[in-house]
Amino acid sequence: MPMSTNQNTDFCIFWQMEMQLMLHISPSIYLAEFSTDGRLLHTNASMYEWLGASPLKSLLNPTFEQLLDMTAPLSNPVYNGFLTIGDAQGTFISLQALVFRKDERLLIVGGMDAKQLADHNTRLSHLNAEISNLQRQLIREKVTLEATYQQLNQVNASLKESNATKDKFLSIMAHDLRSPLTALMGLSEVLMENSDQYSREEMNTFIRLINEAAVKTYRLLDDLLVWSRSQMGKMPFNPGSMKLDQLCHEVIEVLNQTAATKRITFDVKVAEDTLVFADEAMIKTVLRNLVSNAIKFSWSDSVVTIFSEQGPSDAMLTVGLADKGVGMTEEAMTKLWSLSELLSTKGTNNEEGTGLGLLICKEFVEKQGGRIWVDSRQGEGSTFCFTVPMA
Amino acid sequence: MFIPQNTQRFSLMDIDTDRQSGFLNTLLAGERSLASNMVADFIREGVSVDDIYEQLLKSSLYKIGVLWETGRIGVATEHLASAIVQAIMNDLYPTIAATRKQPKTVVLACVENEQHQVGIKMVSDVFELAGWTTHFLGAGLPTDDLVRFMNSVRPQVLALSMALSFNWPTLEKMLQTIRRIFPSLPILVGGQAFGKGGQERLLAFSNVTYLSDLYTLKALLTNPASFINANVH
Repeated sequence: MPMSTNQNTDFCIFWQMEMQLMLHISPSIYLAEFSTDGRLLHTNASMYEWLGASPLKSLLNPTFEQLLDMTAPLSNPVYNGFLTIGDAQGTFISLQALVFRKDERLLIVGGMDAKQLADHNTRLSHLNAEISNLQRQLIREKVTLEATYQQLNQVNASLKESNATKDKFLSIMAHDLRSPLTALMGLSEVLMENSDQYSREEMNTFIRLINEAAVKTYRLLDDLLVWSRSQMGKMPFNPGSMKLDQLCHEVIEVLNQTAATKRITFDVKVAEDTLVFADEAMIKTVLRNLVSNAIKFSWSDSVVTIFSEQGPSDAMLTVGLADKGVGMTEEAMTKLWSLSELLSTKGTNNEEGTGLGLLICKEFVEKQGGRIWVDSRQGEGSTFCFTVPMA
Repeated sequence: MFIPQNTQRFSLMDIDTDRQSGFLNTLLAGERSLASNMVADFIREGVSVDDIYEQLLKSSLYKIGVLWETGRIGVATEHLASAIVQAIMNDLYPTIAATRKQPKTVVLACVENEQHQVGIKMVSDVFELAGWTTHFLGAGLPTDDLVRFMNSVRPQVLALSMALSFNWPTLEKMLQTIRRIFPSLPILVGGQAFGKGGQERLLAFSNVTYLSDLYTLKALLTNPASFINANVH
């Protein structure tokens, strides 16, 4: 319970010395006495720190002049409220203050409302915690957004690349289709308009040329269809165990007639019990393309060797096809596997190709967990190798 | 209650006492930038986030708590230090938030009415660094709201923090409520209040694990089954 007036008087008399000391040294009590003509008569240390060199100007709100105009009954404060002191251009504080006036003197007694300060401090502390949590939430969302943005960029880059490759591919294919179709149109037009002017022998020549152009177009479209289905993941993939030497002989049998026109023979150095784990249709396509290429680029009367050896790991087998033929330059080797560099080279007997065969080989070899590469010297021949899992 | 036996330290390196004192003085002076720079230096030197949390931030805040208890500082200074520590934790958070997450979820909160959230925030970060998805609900959350939230996210673990020992009855009431609704949910508890004893009061609850420090938590998270399946009374 607060003290009564009498108790307060006794209390102040009893503790007079201590009260004087406290008023002088306490950092939470602010005391100043001014004369009404504006002179600072007394102050304690804490108030002095804020009044500085210009005490009157340091009374910011209410000002000294405003305080002089205030009146009140004797012993009552002329002002009871917040008094802001300090440097208007710098730092200042608001004290909970009482201002008394007696004769020609003003007494200012100020201090801090500890309860209010504690309350504000707690509220600010909670506010800071909320802001900190909010900032953390924002950081988390930013990290997520950045990751999403990065993923989108990657997908976008990949789509752009894919689109550019397809554009280039379509452009090349259109060009390659144009040539045999032009031949078909020209030759058939000649036959339509002047068939009665040509001998039977000449007619046969035209018909043979038309057939060659049609076969070339068909092969190109067939290769394109296979490659396209593979790209779209629509090729069935059913790997199983099978004998490699048997596969080689089946492929050679199909192409033997073509090889015979250039008197090319085959030397299959694959052990009878060599088993591979592969999709039969895919590995046959790979072997057929590589054997076909070997025939195409070999000199007449040469030998194409097909061999196999374990490696590069215990579970893999390397299959190779070596020809004695035109070979190729370093630059040509680097362009073999790229869709954007698609090129078709004529063989030693002017055989033509689609340029898609090796790309299909690469797709199918990689689909089965292997890789494909070439070693070649211009004028000496090429050796194509690929790896395939052993059964 | 389950108290992990494997309390080996998972510290990569020790922060020497001189630098700990320097950091504490920086916090007491309210020098936020200086304190952030000191932590950035530690990160550059290869000190792990766990070590910074345990040996620098937590250690300093505990010492500040002692300074307050012994009348050397006021509550405002304590609040200021806590604000700086949370700002530093947010400086480190982008790296923590970028950790690849696994399908494991933890909900973290303070005991109802408890306002000290720095410790449980550190626990949240250690979970996140271990790849957990965290839901940090902070301070002052009523138990009913906590239960409602847990029903929506169905966490694998709940972690509760208690800094002040007079909140023991509130913690016990919360544990009773949560245990009634989630009979087998693993609950981790920790905080400065446990440093003054009273852990035996947790014996009344099943599958509640007391964690003395972040290193113990980190050790547990290397084998979550050790506490997720623990049901020791």
